[in-house]
Amino acid sequence: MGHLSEEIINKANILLEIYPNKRSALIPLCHLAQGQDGYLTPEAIVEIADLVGVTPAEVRGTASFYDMFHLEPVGKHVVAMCTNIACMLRGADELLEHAQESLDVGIGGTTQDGQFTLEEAECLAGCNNAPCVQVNHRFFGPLDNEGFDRLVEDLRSGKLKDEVPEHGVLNRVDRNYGLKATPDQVQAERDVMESAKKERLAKKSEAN
Amino acid sequence: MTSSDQTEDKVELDPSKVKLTIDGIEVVVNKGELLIEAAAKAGKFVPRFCYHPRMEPVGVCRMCLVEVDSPRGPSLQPSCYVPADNGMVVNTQSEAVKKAQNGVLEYLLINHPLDCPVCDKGGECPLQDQTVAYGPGESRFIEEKRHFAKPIAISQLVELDRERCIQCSRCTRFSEEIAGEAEIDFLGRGDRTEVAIFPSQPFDSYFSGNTVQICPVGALTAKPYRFKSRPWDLEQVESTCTSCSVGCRVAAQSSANQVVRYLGIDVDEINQSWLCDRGRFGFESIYSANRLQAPMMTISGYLQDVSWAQAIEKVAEVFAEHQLKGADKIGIIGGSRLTNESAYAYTKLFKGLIGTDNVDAAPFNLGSINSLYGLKTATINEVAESDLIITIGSNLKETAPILFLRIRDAILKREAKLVEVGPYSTPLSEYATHVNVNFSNFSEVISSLLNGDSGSENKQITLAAELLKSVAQTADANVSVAIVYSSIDANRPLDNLEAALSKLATFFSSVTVRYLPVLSKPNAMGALDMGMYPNLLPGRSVLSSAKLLKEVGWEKLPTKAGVDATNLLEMAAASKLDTLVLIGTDILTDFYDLELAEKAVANVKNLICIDTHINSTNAKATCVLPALYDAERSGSFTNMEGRVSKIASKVTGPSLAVDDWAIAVQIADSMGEDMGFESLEEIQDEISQVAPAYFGFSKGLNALGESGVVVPMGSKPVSIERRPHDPIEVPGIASTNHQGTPLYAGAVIPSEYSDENTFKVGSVSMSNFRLVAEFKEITLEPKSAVSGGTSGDDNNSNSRPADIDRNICEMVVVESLMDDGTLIKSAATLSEIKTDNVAKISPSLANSVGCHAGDSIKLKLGSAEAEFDVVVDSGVAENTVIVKKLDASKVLYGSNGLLVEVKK
Repeated sequence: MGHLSEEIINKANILLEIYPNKRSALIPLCHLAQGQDGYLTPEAIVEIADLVGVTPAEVRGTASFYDMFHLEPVGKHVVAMCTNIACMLRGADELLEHAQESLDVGIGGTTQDGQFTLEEAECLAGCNNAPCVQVNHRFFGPLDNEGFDRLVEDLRSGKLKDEVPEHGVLNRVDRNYGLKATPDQVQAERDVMESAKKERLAKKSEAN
Repeated sequence: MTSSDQTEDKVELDPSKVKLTIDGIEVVVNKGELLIEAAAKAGKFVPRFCYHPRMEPVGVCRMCLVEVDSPRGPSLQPSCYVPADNGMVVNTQSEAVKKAQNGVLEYLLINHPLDCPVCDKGGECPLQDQTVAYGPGESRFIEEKRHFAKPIAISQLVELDRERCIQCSRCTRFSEEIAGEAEIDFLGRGDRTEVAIFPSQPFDSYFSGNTVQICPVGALTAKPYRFKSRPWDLEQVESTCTSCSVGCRVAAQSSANQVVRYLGIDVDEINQSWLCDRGRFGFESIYSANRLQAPMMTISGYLQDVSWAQAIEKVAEVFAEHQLKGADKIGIIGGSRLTNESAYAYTKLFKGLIGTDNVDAAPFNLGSINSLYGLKTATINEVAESDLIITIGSNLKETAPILFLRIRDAILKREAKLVEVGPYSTPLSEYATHVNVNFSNFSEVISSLLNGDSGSENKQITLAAELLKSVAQTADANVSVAIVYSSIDANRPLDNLEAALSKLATFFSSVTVRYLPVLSKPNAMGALDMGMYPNLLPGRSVLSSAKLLKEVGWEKLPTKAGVDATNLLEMAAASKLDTLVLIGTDILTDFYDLELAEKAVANVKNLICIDTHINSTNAKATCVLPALYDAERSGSFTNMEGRVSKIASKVTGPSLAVDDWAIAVQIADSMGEDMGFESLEEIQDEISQVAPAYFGFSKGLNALGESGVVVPMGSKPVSIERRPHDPIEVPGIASTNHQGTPLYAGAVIPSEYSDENTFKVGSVSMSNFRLVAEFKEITLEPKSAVSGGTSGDDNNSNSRPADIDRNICEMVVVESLMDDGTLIKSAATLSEIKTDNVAKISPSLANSVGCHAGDSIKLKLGSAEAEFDVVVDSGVAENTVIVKKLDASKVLYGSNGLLVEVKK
């Protein structure tokens, strides 16, 4: 029996269908596999490689490029803390230092209870709430030291269970297989655009 | 530049050419050619790391930035990525370019450890050289460099030092693009990028050595060369690899009279700079402890060192007896290890002076001499340029790895079609229409392929048949088909191969069809061409056409054809043969019927072995003569295409070993005969005079240099246009060249070769060229093709090996590159690579015997049995068991129907 569940294999097969090249499905399949295990296990990588027709080394190499894929086990909550300019000006570096102290892990480390993995991130596009953090891709901020500790406490106690799902389940692939629009719909939209353009041109020439 | 200028330029030019200006020099190059190559044609060298002429450009290292004029002013562009176009103005020397080069080098060196004094690459390192030539001289980087454990072994042959890596991606691209097995890839991003394998899967590619060869820094090193030499101690010579019948061109490099490294030379016609690991690292067998150091004779039951005088005396005495009476009581097996010159010398000794025709170079799986010589041969380039390639028989990756690369390249880059007829699916199958076949149903399968209707139960046959038909029906002589063939089984000649080939010839009669035989032994073609086979004489002629030879002293030439290896061994086993001479062949491990070989060795009176290493057969010899080997000897080599190229000596051999041709001359001399030559040149001259297909070959060989020359002389047009020399392509060769040992010593390639008085290449044929009448095109008789799938077995009337009981199943023995022959066994590093002892079976057979992947099975043939691990492979033909030609399978030769049992 393979490592990936039957459900994932079924989803994978649907995904493989919608790309002209099998290997294009590599990233979505990695998301699926990470959804199962929380990180990309060697077993999953071997199976994905087999599914998309590349070598395990290539799958691992490709996945390693992206911060959202983990090649090592991570905690239930992946805390990504932005240290880019807006957040930095609002004290992100100090917050990151505090986070390391209070969680007792280094950057990239996972707490001993397996609850938290702390990451330093580039801009998360949450500058309006700087300094901001993402926990399993959900935004929190602006945060000060106390706010961060409270957030950690709430996550630990399960208070935010509904708001912050467990790591690994955020999965665009899960929600959406391929194009939602049919080719007919796409064509219809294009036609509308074309006719609108013609109208505009006609008005323009009239004006001239 | 005005637009009218441009129009003028275009009018003047051939549409496939473009004209551009590089540093003020106008050059005309092919459209689409990259600026970096165009610059080379203008005599300008652009520094580079990632660019390799045999791989697709990627433009990642940024070292080759040049300034290109554009409407918005000059801009820096990577010259390895921008194609040349009409009217371009390129500057490779501007201030901006120099500043960019400075910057790129300073950047590349940020994390480079600068451990040049202890780095194997130091002295031949493009990073080192180009930093001196184009670099800033100083770095502003004072922070801590990144650190990695160094070096780590990524396979048993290759070690990786990630600190030295500059991420040029040459190695990862090679393994994906050229070898098709991306077992290494980049891991991580930005300054954390490293080359990595997948943890449980080492970089065990057959082509891994090439990544070391093209690494522009010291990141990848090969174990056999690590810390063996400094580049400035190296000497080199251009030679030919003798590990298979492809005959790749190599630079054999030595230090202190010891071969330390082989590098592939970029020869367009053959290996295009690549080598397989067997060819690259096999040289270590020169220094094996098993190497024969002195002549030996069995004296009072023990094999003991003796002097050459004693040994030659003994051998001459035996031979002289046979010369006097009983020339049919001596037999000679082997010879594919030899150079052409040595093969000629032995043929002359045995056929011309002793008078026996029992000589067989024993390329055991050869089809027939008729098809080998009668069919129109394809060169490797012609195969790669064909529209349709049909491979019959062996897995080319195992038997001719570089040919495999060339065919793969043809399919991917030129979209050539491939039909693969073989016993199991190979790495080429994913690009091919694979048709499964085993030894016994070969004729049927070929018939149904050509007849088109196979009862349609086999989809692959139907698909392949359609493809063949569509090509044959184009009836266009410009459409070309190449048939690359060998036996299905490593041990058994395929008796109906010739019939199948002639059927194919008839089928494709309206298009151009050519054939390439994949011989299983290195210089088998050369040995046959020099007459080492019953009824053959040098130069592809036969006994009846011996007139020329009589003039140069072949006085005792027999008139009746002799017998081949199998029959010789049978005679020996029945004590009907007095003397058996083995030349570089270890019949007790290599011959397909071990029982017969053992009997023969036990019952023959004199067993004389001329060999390089001690092996199980010559350990029982009456007399063993040590010969030179590999880079110790000079001569020529004829590959599967019939291409003759030079083997050059670089080092001296063990003190008492002698080159084979000299052994023959000494024996003849001791017999009181005169061979008529005393040097290699004299042999070459004699071959040039008396061997029809080789008339003029010595001159041709010298004139053409690196690509060699295809025999029969003048039969193939040869291009002598070379790409501009790229010193970074194979850094190890260029740097050794600079140090004063030019690679092409003695074989300078003239830029325009037009000496009317000597051998002329290309369209003008040689005045004295003649092809022997006996081997005209095979007469095409598509016998029994009409009857459909009923031929095959019925025609197969030969006695050996035994018929197969098809109710049980059939064993097909296939060759593997890393086998357990003398070469691999005696090469220090290669011998450590584990060969897996597996039997491949089809899922249906696995079902019927009830075994799963990972189980052990027992194969029984007659009274012999052997155990294997099972691999269930849907690519294997039904009712067929595929085993490698390794020790474990050897006990199974030559018995009746195979039984498969699951071992619990």
